[in-house]
Amino acid sequence: MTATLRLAWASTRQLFRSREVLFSMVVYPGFFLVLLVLFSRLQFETSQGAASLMDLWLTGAALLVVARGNGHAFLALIATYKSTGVLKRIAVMPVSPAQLIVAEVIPRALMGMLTAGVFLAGGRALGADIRLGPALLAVVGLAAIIVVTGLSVSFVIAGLTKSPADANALEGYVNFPLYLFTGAMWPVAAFPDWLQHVVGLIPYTGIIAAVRGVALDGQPLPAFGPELAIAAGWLALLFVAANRAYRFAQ
Amino acid sequence: MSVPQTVARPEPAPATGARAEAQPGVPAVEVRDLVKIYPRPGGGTLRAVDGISFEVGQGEFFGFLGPNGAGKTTTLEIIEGLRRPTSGEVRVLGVDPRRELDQVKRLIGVQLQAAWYFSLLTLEEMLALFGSFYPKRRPPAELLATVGLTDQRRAYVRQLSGGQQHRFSVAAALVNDPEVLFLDEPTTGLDPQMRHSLWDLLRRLNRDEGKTIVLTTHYIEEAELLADRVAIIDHGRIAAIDSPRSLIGTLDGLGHIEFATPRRIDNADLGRLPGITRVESTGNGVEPGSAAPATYRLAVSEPKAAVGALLDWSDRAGVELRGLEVVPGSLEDVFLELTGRELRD
Ligand SMILES: Nc1ncnc2c1ncn2[C@@H]1O[C@H](COP(=O)(O)OP(=O)(O)OP(=O)(O)O)[C@@H](O)[C@H]1O
Ligand SMILES: [Mg+2]
Repeated sequence: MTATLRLAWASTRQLFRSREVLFSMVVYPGFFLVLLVLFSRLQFETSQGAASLMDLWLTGAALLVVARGNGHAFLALIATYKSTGVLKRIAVMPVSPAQLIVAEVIPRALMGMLTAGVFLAGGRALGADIRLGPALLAVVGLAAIIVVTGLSVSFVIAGLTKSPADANALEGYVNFPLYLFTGAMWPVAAFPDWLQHVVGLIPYTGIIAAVRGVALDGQPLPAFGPELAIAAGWLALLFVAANRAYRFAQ
Repeated sequence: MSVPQTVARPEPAPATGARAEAQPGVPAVEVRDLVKIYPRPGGGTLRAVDGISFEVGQGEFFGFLGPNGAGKTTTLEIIEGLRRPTSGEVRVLGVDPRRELDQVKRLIGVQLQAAWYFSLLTLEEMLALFGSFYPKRRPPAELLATVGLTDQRRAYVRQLSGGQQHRFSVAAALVNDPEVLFLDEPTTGLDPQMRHSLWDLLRRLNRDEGKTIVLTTHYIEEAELLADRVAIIDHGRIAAIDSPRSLIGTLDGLGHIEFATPRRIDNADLGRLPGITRVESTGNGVEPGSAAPATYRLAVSEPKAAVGALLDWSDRAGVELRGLEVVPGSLEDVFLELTGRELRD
């Protein structure tokens, strides 16, 4: 346990010494919010009513961007660990890949939560119809789950590929459908019925639905039990897969 | 030519339960019938390690000497638990790395041939982090002082020179004050001064602190100078294993006599002299009276007697010996004899 915490502290230190924190927590949310203000008059009409693009994206695409942004930077880092031999140097010591995974995930989950908070509070200040207070806490917690799921995906990708370049390419293919089908960009209600059931099984879809329910409609978090269960199932599965795929062995 | 294979191979000790300390009497390293087969790029397989057996006693300084691709790194990394053997048995202080890997990792220190580190942690932060994984550890400041990197303690690894990175790797291998230290070509790329100071450090660790050291090297003089015993490895096999002195002794002789003559003489005449075991000659003073000198290299078993006999013979035969030199035997001779290859590149 202490080894994991030590590693987590080391990776937090490294994170704050890199420029990434500045980009992911300040530059990128700022850019995204300006974009949303420009499109603030766009609306989606579905059978369940109208929703503004600003509200939809702040509670969908923005979170996915946080998750994938973290995942991307993280993938570059761990793919480099694998290809250069940092992972091998760690493997010399009595530390397991699972400990390394947990340690690298902790600071990123925290950063993802903070970034999600920045997004939502900023969006609210710019006129989005978002509830703050307890709802914000729930959303920030859900953001952590989204981010950690994204990091696990990155670990699996890094485990399946041999070089940072390969990892990057594979990640590109994984990312695109996520934006299209998870409801991040437009309401899942716009899909045909059968497709709505299918996309409900994608890791992020349920969490995005829960975020919207809590932040936009004021529903309680427990109302999204099935969605959260699916997300938790994915998280567990991905963690096991990541632990198996991402290790040094020859 | 015959070099005795030192084949002391009792049954490997049965793997024992978790212990943090070394048991007296158990060998530091036991390797038996180790084989590692790699797929060859483009088809086929490569027996990178081809049936290696050896033992390293506690407190011993053991050297692996072999050319590029001989299988040194592969053997070492199997012992360290980083690679899986195709077949064979390994014990480190009686512990089986395949069954109790973490226990083995606590007992050993490893310097990898090529190692990378976290890019945004300083040297002292990294050593503190690594040390925190072990129950027994050395303070970072002491480790850095040991390898002469105190001034760089706040630097990142990428800010170090190649030789300094090498030394940092050695420091990182010592964080847990290991019982057995594995070093994969630790002095390659070091300047002569640093090489000597690293040799001093390794000797101190071995003699004063009783650490077992297993080291691979390309440098024959390094193996000869440091190691109690040397294994000469080539094509994944151990060609010979013994103390440098005995290895040199088992060669045709203990040394060489070299000289040149203005005209060619019959190798057989020299071969009949006492104490001379083999004659090689080059140069073309073939016809009697030719001006081109021929040079001779005689392997000798008893240099004193051989030199005396040679001088008597040259007086009697009226042959002028130019540039007569007696060269003591070296590990390089053994290596060349066994592998037919020059090690230096
Ligand atoms: N992961 C691998 N996959 C395939 N072949 C490998 C692998 N690692 C090593 N080899 C091959 O196995 C042989 C032994 O390699 P090894 O690295 O053990 O040699 P070495 O004695 O350490 O050489 P050097 O002195 O150059 O470090 C080489 O022919 C090498 O090409
Ligand atoms: Mg090697």
